[in-house]
Amino acid sequence: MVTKKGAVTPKPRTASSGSAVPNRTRPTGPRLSPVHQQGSADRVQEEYASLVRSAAAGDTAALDQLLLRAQEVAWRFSSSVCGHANDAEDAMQEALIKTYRYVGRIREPEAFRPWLYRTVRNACLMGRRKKAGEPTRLQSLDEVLPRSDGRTRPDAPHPGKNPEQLADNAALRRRLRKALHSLPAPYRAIVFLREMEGLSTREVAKVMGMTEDNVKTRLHRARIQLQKDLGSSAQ
Amino acid sequence: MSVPARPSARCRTLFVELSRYLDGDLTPARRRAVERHIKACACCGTMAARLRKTMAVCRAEGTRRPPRDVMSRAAERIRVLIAREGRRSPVRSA
Repeated sequence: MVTKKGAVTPKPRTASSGSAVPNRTRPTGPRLSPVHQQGSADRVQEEYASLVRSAAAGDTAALDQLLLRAQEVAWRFSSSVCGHANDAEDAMQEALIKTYRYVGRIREPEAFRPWLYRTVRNACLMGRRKKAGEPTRLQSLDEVLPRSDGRTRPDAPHPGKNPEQLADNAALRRRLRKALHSLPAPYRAIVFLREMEGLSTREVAKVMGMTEDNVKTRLHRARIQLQKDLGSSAQ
Repeated sequence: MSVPARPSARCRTLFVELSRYLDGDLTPARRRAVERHIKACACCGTMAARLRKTMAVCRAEGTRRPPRDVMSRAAERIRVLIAREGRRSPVRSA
């Protein structure tokens, strides 16, 4: 989608067009619809594609809007996946800079979101590799699934403690964040992309570089783990 | 709601399909089969409800916005980038 020799040849922006600053006056362009509140994933995808096309053609208001939106998305993803606040911020900024630099070369505007997530994820991975001795969590989630003999595992969810009994409040959200960060990074990324950002399974597979079936399997295991963690923290 | 101590073989088979069911990703025939089972089985019905709630909590979390200081630092970095690269049109074709 983004290549060194891109197919799109946008009008070059000039220095005076340097209004692509996310926190200045909010752009006048159309606001994007939150996936889980208003529109379908398809509509959000088309809104992004429209912004990418306009930005590539030199529309600075569209570029502002795109960067603003990309900033929020990239921050949420990086803070979910990277694990460290500073790394997350670096990854977010790198993604924004790449968006700014390469928006004119994106050949599939409809695939902008997967590209952005992949960029953030790669930045997180690169940042992680640079750090020596960072703890990683590599154990399998198979341990939370029922055994083949049908017996539940010792740490299986307690039937008397489940999310339905919890109030949907800030405490629950804190527990969710803690539970998310206890997941292995790839599982966490899949949950984020699918549940929080509303990407399709196919888009998640593109971002993660795995098959759709693999995404579905990991998503299911991650949901089970999250449900278990949320349930066991209930009073 | 009582939860059986040992899930049946049918429960174990269905368990791996719960996420796909909740995502609307099953064939009509499988969807009907899962629906029939979770209505009749306390164990699987409870698990389906818990997973649905967990998914809802995750989706609510997806609306967070970056803190102001994070946004400010990102904006500043982009400002610097634009000042440095704007003159040479960073989005021109390679």
